[in-house]
Parts: sequence; C-alpha cells; structure tokens
Amino acid sequence: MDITADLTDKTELELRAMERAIAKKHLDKFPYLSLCWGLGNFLCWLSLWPLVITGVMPLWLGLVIATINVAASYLPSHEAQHSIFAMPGKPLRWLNELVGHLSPIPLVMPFRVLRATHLEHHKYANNPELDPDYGIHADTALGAVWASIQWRQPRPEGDEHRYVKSLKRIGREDLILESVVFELVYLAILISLVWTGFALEAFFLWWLPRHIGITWLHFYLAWFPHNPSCGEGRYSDTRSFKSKVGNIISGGMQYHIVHHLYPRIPLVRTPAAYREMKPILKTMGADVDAI
Amino acid sequence: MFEKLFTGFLGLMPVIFGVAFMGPVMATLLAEAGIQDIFGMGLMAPCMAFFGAWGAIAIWKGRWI
Repeated sequence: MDITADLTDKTELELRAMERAIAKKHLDKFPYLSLCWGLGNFLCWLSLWPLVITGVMPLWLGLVIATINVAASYLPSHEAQHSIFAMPGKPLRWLNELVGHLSPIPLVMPFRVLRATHLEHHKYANNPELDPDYGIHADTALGAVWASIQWRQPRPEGDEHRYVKSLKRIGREDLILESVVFELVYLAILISLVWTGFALEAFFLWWLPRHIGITWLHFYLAWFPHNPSCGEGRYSDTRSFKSKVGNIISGGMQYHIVHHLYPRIPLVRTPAAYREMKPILKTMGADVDAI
Repeated sequence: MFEKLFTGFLGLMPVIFGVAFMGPVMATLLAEAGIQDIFGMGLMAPCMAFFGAWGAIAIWKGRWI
C-alpha cells in the first residue's frame, strides 16, 4: 500500500478489513529464525559454563556473551507464548512448548507464568490495575530503569508483585508455586556453585547477566513501546518508535503496535506488516509518526 | 503447618541469599582485588555478616535498594 495513501473516505469497518487482509499475509509463517535463536541461544549460554570453568574462555568474555544470551532468551519464548510455532492440537505443538520452556531458563522465568501474565498484558495493556507490566511505567528513561530495579524487589511498590496479583486474579495460583520453585532451584544452583569454588562464574555468568538482561527487557519491551504517552485502547495502547540503537538492539520493538494488533505475526515479519499497515494505522489514530 | 513453614522459609530468602551467595561472592571479589582481611576477621565472615544484615533489612523494608 502506498504510504501516502489517503484513506479518510473509508469507514472504520473497511479499514479494519484492509488491516486484516495485510495481517493475513504475515500470519501462519513458521518462525525459523526464532526457532534457531531460541534453542541456539540457550545452548550457547550453557556452553559458556564449561568453557569459562576450564579456562578456555576468559571470564570477562563469558560475562559479555552471557549478558547477550540472557537478554536474548525472552523473545523466542514470547513467540511460543502466542503459539506462533504451532497452535494447540497441531503436530508441531511440542516444538512450540519446547522453545517456550527452554529459551527463558537463563532468565529464571517459567514459560507458563510468562504466557499467563503476558496474555493479561495484551488484554489490559496500560491499565494501571490490571496490566501486569504496568509497574514499569515511568515518565523518563531513567525512571524506567529504576522501576525495573524495583520490580525485582521482595515487595515491589510496597505490595505483592503484580505478576502474583495477576495470577491470583485469573485463578492460576499453581503458577505462583511454579515461580517459587524456579527461584529456589536457581538460588540452590548459585549457592552450590559458590561453595564449590565457582563464585565468580556464578556471579558473572548468571546473576549479573540476568539483572542486566531483565533491565534491558523491561526498558525496550515494556517501557519504550508503551510509555510515557500511550493510553488504553486498540490503537493507542502502544506505538511505533525510532530507536537510536536500531531495531535489533531494541529487541525488534520499533513496530510493537503490529504485535498488539496481531500477536501471532512473527517478530521478524512485523516491520514488513507495519510498512504495509501504516496508512491504515495512521487513519485509525495510532501514534505511528516516528518511523 | 507445612504451608506456614514454607512461607516462613520463603520470607527468609533475602537473608539466605545474602549470607550464602552475595557474601561469599563479595569475599571472592575482594580477594581477587588483593584485599585479604577486614578488621582482622578475614574476608568471608564480615562479608557474610554484611550481606546477611542487608538481607534482613530487605525483608523488613521489602526492598534491597
């Protein structure tokens, strides 16, 4: 579609139909890149441990690679959260679940918890009470980093964690226990490493990369696409933006509005879908002027 | 009963984390930096005590920082 196209004479229904027709071209495409990324990234992070422990790789290099690994571990799982690899009942569903579970292990976040809370985020994006990611809201970039640090505290915002509240609200208390088990196993592994002589490896290959990775994820995946000016509603709960560090380093989030409209479009196809949809999105009142 | 014990144990996690993980990590980092001793007490005990106390404050305040 011509990006200068004048669509003001179209009705909302016609625009929505045009939007869906574009989305259809990008849906149900198998995300090969995300599959290799999810499994390869996890294996790369695992391989750092023997490489650093045996002295083949220096610890500083292990820290750099582990930080990239941990930061990159969420997005393949995010594709699986939306069943982009395979819908329930399809032959490759097992692969969807495998990537979903394995990929975010370095982040110490259970796939089922991520999926349940992320779907709530989609339902209630930017709702101060119901959006589990609303805790990352802030007026400034530094404020977002601070909000992310607070998100990891024992009682963020002086109360129960928003994810815990969200899981209780949807009746998935079982997933709270799953999160606790994940945290306990993580802590047990860290402590075991420390007391068997691998304190620096535990700190620089997992603890520190995890904190840097979560901060990056919150900043580019939760704060930038939804803050500070976005409201609620189909065309206003997120936006497109031009990142100074480019689309890849910002997690492919420049075109996040396409993801909220059509969550099953694979991440790598959102730029193309965005370029085609942009005139429609603009006519519908979305904030798409930045890129 | 089990739930109460489990919840109580979880409530202590910041202290356990401070004593059993951050303390020894800090002691190792200080040793790597050439520091061998804090007030004549070695490195491990003061670091574990410091981070254990910080963990206790984190439980009380609900936040590490």
